[in-house]
Amino acid sequence: MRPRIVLLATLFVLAALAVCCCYLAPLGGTAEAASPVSPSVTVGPGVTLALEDASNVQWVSGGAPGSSLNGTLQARVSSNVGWSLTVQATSGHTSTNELTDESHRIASACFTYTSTAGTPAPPTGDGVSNPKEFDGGNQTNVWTGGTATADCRVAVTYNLQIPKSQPPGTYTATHTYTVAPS
Amino acid sequence: MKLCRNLAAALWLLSLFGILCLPQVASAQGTLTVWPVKLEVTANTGEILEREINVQNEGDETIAVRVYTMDFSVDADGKYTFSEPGDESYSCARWITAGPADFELGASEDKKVLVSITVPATVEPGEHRAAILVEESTPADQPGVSVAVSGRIASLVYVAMPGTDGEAIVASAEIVSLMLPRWVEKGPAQVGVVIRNTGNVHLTVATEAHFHDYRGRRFGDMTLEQVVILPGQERTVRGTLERTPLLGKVQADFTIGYIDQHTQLVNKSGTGGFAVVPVRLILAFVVPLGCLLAYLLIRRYRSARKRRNPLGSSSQTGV
Repeated sequence: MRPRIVLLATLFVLAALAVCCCYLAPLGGTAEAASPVSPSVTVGPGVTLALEDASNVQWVSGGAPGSSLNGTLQARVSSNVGWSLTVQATSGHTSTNELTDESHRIASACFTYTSTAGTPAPPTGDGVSNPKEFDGGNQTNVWTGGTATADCRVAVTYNLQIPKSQPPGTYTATHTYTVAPS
Repeated sequence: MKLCRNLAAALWLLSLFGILCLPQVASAQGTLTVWPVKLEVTANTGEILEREINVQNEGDETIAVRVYTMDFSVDADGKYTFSEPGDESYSCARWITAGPADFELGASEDKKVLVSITVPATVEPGEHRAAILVEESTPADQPGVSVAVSGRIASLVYVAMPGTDGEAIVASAEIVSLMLPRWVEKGPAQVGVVIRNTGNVHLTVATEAHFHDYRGRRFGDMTLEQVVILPGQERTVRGTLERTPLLGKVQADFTIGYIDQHTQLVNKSGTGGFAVVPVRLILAFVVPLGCLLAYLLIRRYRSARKRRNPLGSSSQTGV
């Protein structure tokens, strides 16, 4: 009886050891060389534009003849390439795109803008420091020489001098801001 | 009762405090993102190419988007001009259809715009270009004086066309001239370089400048704006040299770099110079020295004259 027990116990231990060896012993043979995995992604040039505080250039109560209206909107830009920002009056009085109430117009010489770095400021580039008229036929610079930025703002300050003889009415125009990569 | 009044006052103060602390939310239209903003392809006559432009609204309101093509040009100062398709030479705006042309984008929604470029059977070799404009607008509907603002992003398309007779695509640029002052009193000094694209495809050109004083020591380095120059056009790249030596001649070395048609980096250089003349500093030393010298000379002359003519001087005081 006793020898059988010893035999069985021995067999059990050997089997257990064999099973353990399957897990603990190092693998034999040469491992296959792992194929290199190279994650890659192509990042293309991209630009984001948002025009904030556009309501600041909508003067609901208008202005008295001879008065001056001011307002500042913010052009918010992010880009991973160089960029420039321009503006053009794209609708309004026929052929000039000046402010119009369909019967009368406010001359472009009365409607100017300047542009400065907002918060956060563009890392590089220049705004427009001297008042510049909005042009109905061409793009005019707002910010030039911009470089890659995660987020920046350009503050565009509008100034409208209402002539003393300006007929009353609701005057509108459209200004289109364009960001182009450089 | 007193407790209720105190409680009411405390609540009112708290609400006032909360209102004042509320973050100021800027009123904004949509936030438009477009990528890629450059499409550079090579095509043969009669070929049809398809690409995609991604448009995303990162704002929190639904926006209306319009997609259309225009010609574009860039002047020497880097100002873009957009015009009707076909206005510019080497325009490919009429080869391009982009769709959908009008759509709405909800908050955080994005959409792919399919761009199809159909190259005509006969076309002049060289690079043709156009701009695909993605625009979002909000009409102004307020009384009084009201300006509607609209924002758009230009995705520039460059289609390089090898010549049918084997004419190659050529990517090259030259330095036309240096913009240097003749002389400055001190820094900062405005400097620049005029670069011409002498090839037949657009080029991205980087520019650096190095400055040496009269002893040959390098005292300044400048990395100027990287610019894109269209074929046959010139661009002026400007910079500001903040510090100059106290005096003497300055040598300015400009180097431009671009990738040619063999994807090799090409560097070309131009050298010029200007003088630093500290006028006010010189005057501050020279004028007093000059006065002192004049005074000494006059005094010496008078002393010499006295020695030569001693009687002349005493006869005046004599009988």
